[in-house]
Amino acid sequence: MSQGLPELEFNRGEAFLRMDEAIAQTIEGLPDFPGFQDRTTLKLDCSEEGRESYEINYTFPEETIGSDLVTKEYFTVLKEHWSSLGWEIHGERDDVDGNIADIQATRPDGVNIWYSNMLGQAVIHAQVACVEAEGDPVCGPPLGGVTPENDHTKYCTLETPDDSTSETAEAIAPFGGTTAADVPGAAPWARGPEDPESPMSDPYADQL
Amino acid sequence: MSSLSWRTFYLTGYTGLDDAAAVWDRYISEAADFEATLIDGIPVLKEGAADQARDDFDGETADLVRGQARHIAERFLDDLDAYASHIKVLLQEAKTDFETKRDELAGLFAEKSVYLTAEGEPGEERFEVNESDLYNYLTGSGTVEPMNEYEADAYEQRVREQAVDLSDRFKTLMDSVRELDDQYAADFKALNDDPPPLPPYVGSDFEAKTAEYLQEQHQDFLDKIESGDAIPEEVNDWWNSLAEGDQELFVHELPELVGPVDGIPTEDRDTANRILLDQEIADFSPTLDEDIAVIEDRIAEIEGNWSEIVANGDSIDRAEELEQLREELARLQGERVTYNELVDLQSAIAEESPTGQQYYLLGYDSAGDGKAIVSVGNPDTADNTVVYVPGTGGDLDGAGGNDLQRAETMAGDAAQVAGSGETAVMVWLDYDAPNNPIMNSPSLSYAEDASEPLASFMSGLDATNHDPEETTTTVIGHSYGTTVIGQAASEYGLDTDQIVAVASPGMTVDHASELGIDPDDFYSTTAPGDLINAAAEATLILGSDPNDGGLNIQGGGLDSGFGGTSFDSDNMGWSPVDIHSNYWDDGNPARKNMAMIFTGNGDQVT
Repeated sequence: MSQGLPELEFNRGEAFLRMDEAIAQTIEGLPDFPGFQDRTTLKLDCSEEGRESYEINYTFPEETIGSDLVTKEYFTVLKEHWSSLGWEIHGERDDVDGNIADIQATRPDGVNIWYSNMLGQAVIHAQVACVEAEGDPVCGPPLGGVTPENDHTKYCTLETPDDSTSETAEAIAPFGGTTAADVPGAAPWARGPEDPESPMSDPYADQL
Repeated sequence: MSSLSWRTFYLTGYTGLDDAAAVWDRYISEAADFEATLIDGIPVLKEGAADQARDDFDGETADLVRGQARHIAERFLDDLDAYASHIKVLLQEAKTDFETKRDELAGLFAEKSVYLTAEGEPGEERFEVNESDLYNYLTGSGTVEPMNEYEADAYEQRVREQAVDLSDRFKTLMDSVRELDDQYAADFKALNDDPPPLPPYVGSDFEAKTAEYLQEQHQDFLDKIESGDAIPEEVNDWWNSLAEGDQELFVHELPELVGPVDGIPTEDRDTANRILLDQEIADFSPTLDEDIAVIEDRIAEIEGNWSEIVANGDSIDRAEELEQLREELARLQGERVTYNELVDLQSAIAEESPTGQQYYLLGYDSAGDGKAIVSVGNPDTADNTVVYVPGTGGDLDGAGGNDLQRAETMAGDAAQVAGSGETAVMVWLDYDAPNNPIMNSPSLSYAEDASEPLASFMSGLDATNHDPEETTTTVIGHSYGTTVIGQAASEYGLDTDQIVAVASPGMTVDHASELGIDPDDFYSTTAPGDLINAAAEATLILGSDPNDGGLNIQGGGLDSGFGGTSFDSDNMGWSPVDIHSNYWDDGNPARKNMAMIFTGNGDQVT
């Protein structure tokens, strides 16, 4: 279990919604946001009985690999953006050439966000460590225009907004000061690619 | 015993044996042509090929008929091939052997004096002196000048001595010819001209019977696999020599001969092992929970009424019953644990992995703590393959749980490296891992037992890989798993490009160069505060610290270190016990470093 994280005020049932919410808040601050290529979920180690750790990963589209936008500019932007949200910045690491390659921030509710440059491929991880294993893990539609075939959600049950309704809205209401109804899009907090012509936009439209 | 006389032997022409061998050779060639005509030349009988005629004769029954036609043809052609080939070889060898002997006999005849004559029936061969001719020669009758008495005596003595000497050699030679004659007669007589059994007819239980038939046909090689004498490369060659239909029969009808065998392709092993897993789960009693409940109730009943039982003088019998009930309860509860672990494994690999890759079950064993080999992604086709060897506490439960999740994390992280292609990550738990980090882990015996299976598994991966030269292969161990890798690498050598040691207590060697790879391809990490530091230093049983960079002064001089590259990992906490397991945690830079290594970017680790 990671040390120094605040006592989590949510359980497994909300974990994925919290993580996606934190990523939604993160990409709100990204200029020229290109959308995401895919989403994966992982289950991580937790040594405490009855608790589990989870992670969501979003990778940026192939066309952004190596671009200054994702390998340089976003590091600077995120540092300011996360600070402005009151999140604790940590985990800054350089690559072998001395360029910043990793930065992390922890939201007050304990969700950790990790932005990483993997040899030019940008990735955002959202993580919760050792939440109580209560409630069925539910995740909303993916952010950033991820298409269904690229949405790998082994460790959470995908629910569209139609499925989740008020329960999901209530689940996220205590944090961030917004309710599900306040944010338009495929998911209550979703933000798609800035290019409205992008073929990746609103992949779940036919399901809504 | 042969009655071959020297005259018959000497006068026989042996080129006829060669002519006969040529006839048999022609039969063999015609048999091969016939096989091509029968199987490949008739589209509906040809397996695995797209063809209109074949498409018209499609379906399960058609496949069965095709398989049977091939088996029948192979049965006769293989038999003919073996029979005819044996005859041909025997004929050729007989010609060579008899001609060699006859040359020896001709040598004796050339060597002998003109006054000696070959005589004798079989077993009595000898050279006799032609007395009258010799007398004439010595006394100078006819045109020959007479010798003086001294010369004549000496000459006569030499002829008579040669007669004795050559007679011995003559008889010995002819005895050996007759032995040869007997030997070839026996060899030809021993030729098995009984036809082999026919393959089963299409009908009920056809697949099972055909599988049994196949097993008999391949029993020699299967025995070689069973005894461990077949290396994975040979196994792969054998498997690839089987017709597609026969491979399917092996997988579906004889899965126990396919699932655990290194060198058989991943897809086939996976199918076989899933069949075995399903069968084993189905074999558990459907009333297991009820049986446990009945015993628990009976135990509770006896214990609850114990005072009354004692008062009634029935305590001895009931105590005996209690003991038996508790033993049975323990056995059933053990079965329940195993059942749960197997079901968990089955469930864990039922759907696609969180990385979008398929799972492959490359082996499992429910005995004891249990063993399993599970892959995230297909290692035969992936661009990078990673074999993860867990350490203390590894068991069947972990192979479908915590350790599998680590494999998923590593596969997911590797997929994020730009240009990495697909990375397949396997949990290799085909060994009995120590259970207790204090009591068991300092022992080398677990690693010694594991080293041969790990080496075989790596060779199997190499044999089944689509492009082993271009695939980056890494073996990574955690904790005692690194000891297993070190032992296997130093004892047998591992078919791997790279080795990674995470939180190692020692790898049984003092330097990376002893692991059979270039030390530049060795990587290690141990987080600050990890309990393994103290454990390794306290015992030193398992070898030098793989993280030793050579900066410490030891024994009065600079230590050369273990070699290789150390990379960063965070402790992610304060508890030495938790730190030991935090390498795959959220935000740990070790994850990124491992991803770089797995994808062939080891020069990027920090």
